[in-house]
Amino acid sequence: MPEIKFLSNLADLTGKKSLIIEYNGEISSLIDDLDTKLDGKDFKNTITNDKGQVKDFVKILVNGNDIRGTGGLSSTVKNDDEIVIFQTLAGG
Amino acid sequence: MNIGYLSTIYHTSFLLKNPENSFLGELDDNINWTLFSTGPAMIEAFKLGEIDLGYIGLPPVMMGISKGLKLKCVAGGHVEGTVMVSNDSFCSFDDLGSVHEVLKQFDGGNIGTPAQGSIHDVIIRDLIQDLDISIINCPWADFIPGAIDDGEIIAGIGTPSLATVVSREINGKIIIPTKQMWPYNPSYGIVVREKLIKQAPEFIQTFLKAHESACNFTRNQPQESAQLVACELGGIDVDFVMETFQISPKYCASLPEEYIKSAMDFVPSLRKLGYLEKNIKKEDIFQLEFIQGIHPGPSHYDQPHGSHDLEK
Repeated sequence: MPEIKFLSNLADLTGKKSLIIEYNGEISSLIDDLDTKLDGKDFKNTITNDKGQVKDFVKILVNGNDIRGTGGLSSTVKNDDEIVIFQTLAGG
Repeated sequence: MNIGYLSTIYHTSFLLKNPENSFLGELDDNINWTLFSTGPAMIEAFKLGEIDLGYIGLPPVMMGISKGLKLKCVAGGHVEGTVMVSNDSFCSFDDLGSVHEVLKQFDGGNIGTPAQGSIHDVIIRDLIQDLDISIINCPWADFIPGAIDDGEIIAGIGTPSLATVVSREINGKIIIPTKQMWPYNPSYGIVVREKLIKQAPEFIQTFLKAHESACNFTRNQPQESAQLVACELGGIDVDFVMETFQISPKYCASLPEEYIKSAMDFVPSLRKLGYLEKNIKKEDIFQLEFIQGIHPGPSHYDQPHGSHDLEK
C-alpha cells in the first residue's frame, strides 16, 4: 500500500507525519480521498487553488519525482509508492 | 519573460510575483514564474533556455559561467543567507566561540544540505575539509528538519527560512549564525541571460527598479512586507516570516565591492572542491551598469532592519 508522508506545516495540519492507505489511481483522486479521510482539516483547499491545480508552493513527490514533471494530477499511484506532500518553506 | 525563483521567503520574488502588490506594474502581464528547489536546478533551466532571469546564489552561477553559460549578475538582493542548525544537544558558536570547534562536534557524522553545488553545499564543504563529516544532499531543504529529527543527519545547512522551520518543528536551534559561515556571502542576486542585456534592457531596468523598491520595503517596513509574504505563501503566519527576516536582515539591491569580493573569494574554494574548471574574473560574472544607475551610493546591507527613519 502507498505511504503518504506530510512535512512541516502539512504534518501539523493533518495531525500526521505519515499515512498508509489502500489506493491505486490518479493523484487527483488520492487528494479527494485524503480530504475525506482528513475530514475537517481543509486539506484539499490548502494544497490546491481555485482552479483545482496544486498550488505553486506545494510539492507532491511520488518516489522522489515531482508530479509536475510526470503528468501532474493525472500521475498514477501504485502499491509501494512513497508520496511526500509538503509546502516549500525552507528555502533553496 | 520566464523567471526562476526559490522558496526563500526574503527574496523579492514573493513581493513581485503577486500583481496585487503592484511592484511590477504592467510588466506583470508578461512574466511566467517558475519555482525551483535550488540554484543548480535553476542553472539547468538556464542551460535549457527555459528561463531568462533568476533569483540565485552566486556560486552555482559561477559554475555555470565556467562551463560556458552566458549569464550576468545584474543586481544583489541579500547577503549572508547560510546558517547551520541542529537540535539542542550540541553547543553553538556562541558557546564555543569558534566555527571549527563547533564543527568538530559533528566529526564522524552526516550533515544535510540542499543540492550539490548550491551555495550552502559549497560553504559547508569548504569548512569541513579537514574533518570526517559526510555531506548528504537533500533534493529540497524541507527534508532537512525531518532528517535531523529521525537521526539520519545530525545537523543541517541552509537558509534562515530553514532555521525558522527547524526551531518550530523540531525545537532545534542555530548552531552557527549566518555571519560566521561566510561573511558577506552573496546568498542571492538577480541573474540574467546575457542576450537579454542587448535584447531587452528596458525590461531589466524596470524589473530592477521594482526589485530595489521591494528590497527597501523589506528592510524598512519588515512587518508590512512579512504580511504580504505570508499572504502570498499561505499556510504560515506573519511571525514565521518575521523570525526569518530577523535571522539575517541584510537586504539591498546593490552590488558593492564587499559583495563582489565575497563572491570572488569563492573561486579558489570552488576550484579546490572540483566545482570550477577554470578561473573566472569578476567581469565574467557581474554587469554593474543597471544597478549602479538605479542604486547609486552606498549599499544598505548593513543598515539596521526596520530603519525607515534612517533612510530619510
